[in-house]
Amino acid sequence: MARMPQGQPRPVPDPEGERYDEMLRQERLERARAEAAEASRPPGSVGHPELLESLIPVWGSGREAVADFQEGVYTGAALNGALAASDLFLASSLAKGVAKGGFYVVNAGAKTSAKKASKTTPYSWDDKVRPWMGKQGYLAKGQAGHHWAIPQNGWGKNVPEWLKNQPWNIKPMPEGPVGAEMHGRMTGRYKGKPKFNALEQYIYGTPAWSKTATGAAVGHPAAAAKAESEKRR
Amino acid sequence: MNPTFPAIGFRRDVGRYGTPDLEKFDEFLSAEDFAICDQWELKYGARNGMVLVDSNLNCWRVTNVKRLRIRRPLWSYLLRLLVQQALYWVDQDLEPLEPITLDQLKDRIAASILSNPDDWRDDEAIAGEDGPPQDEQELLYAIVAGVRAADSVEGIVDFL
Repeated sequence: MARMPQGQPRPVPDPEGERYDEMLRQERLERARAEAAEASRPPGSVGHPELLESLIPVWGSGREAVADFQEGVYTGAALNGALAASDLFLASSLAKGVAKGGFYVVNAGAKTSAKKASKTTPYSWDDKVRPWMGKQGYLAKGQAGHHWAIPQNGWGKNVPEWLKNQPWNIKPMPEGPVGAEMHGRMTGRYKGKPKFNALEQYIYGTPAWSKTATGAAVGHPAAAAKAESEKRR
Repeated sequence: MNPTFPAIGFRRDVGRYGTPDLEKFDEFLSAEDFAICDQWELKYGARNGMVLVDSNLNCWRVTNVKRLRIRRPLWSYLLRLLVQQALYWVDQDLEPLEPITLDQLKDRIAASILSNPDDWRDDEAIAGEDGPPQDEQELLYAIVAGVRAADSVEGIVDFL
């Protein structure tokens, strides 16, 4: 019968040993970092969100704003608060759009006389989509609709009508002659008045939700990056 | 006697954003067109009380609208339901009215066009996107002139 040697250690090969030690080291490091972050958090602060959490609309920027406020960083709190408010505005714009239908769908079964078919198309702006948008409340009486992203004319002529003649691409202009003038000055001179410059076109010619979305698209990653860099410091 | 098509149906401006005093009109190319309603029309009773003028200038009033079944195919119905534009077959009771003349029909259409400019305006032409800006009222008068030049109900429908 074979007997194990007693009191005499002998080398046993352990191929996983080094990896296991490294894993333990990393875990300790991670724990130490978390404890340091917890210790550095001012008392009473909810703490800043993690990178991915900070990208969640409303929640990420909202928590960041609360944390900034509790830590006395009022500029950060105001900016993050504005970002959260813009997320809410975007959500409400989306909800309102959906409530009104959101998308015009042609009635494929509806007949059109041969003569009329030669003049109009299923997604024709003047004939079909514009009256529908008025019926749904996207455009008030007397409001002109401006194709803000894809124009009706120019390069937009090559874009299919089912895509460009939809509520998302229509910015309602103010009611009455002011709206007609504003609409006219987007693309050229209008009754002796000059064409809008790029900034004016952006201000008057893009919907509020689009401006807000642009702000959110820039603001969220910027706020997340700022939060992450502060955490590393 | 049944209505002949194309026909023109005059209705009240119903809906959440409608003005009840105004009169609008819809065009129906066939009996099938007339037998289909979208969910907006059903919700706001757009067909109730509609005065239909057929291609022989005979008139009817819609006294009752009964929803029958969805308009297939199902995928199309579901898609349209999602965007609140589902279509349904309807059964309508029609009460015969006195016939009208073509000129009376044209007058009624002209009055509707002029009192509902939003349904007829060409925003791009008014803004001058593709040429010099045009006057909104002039554009409306041109549409009305086209209606007046037509020699039949079919001619009016073709023009509009």
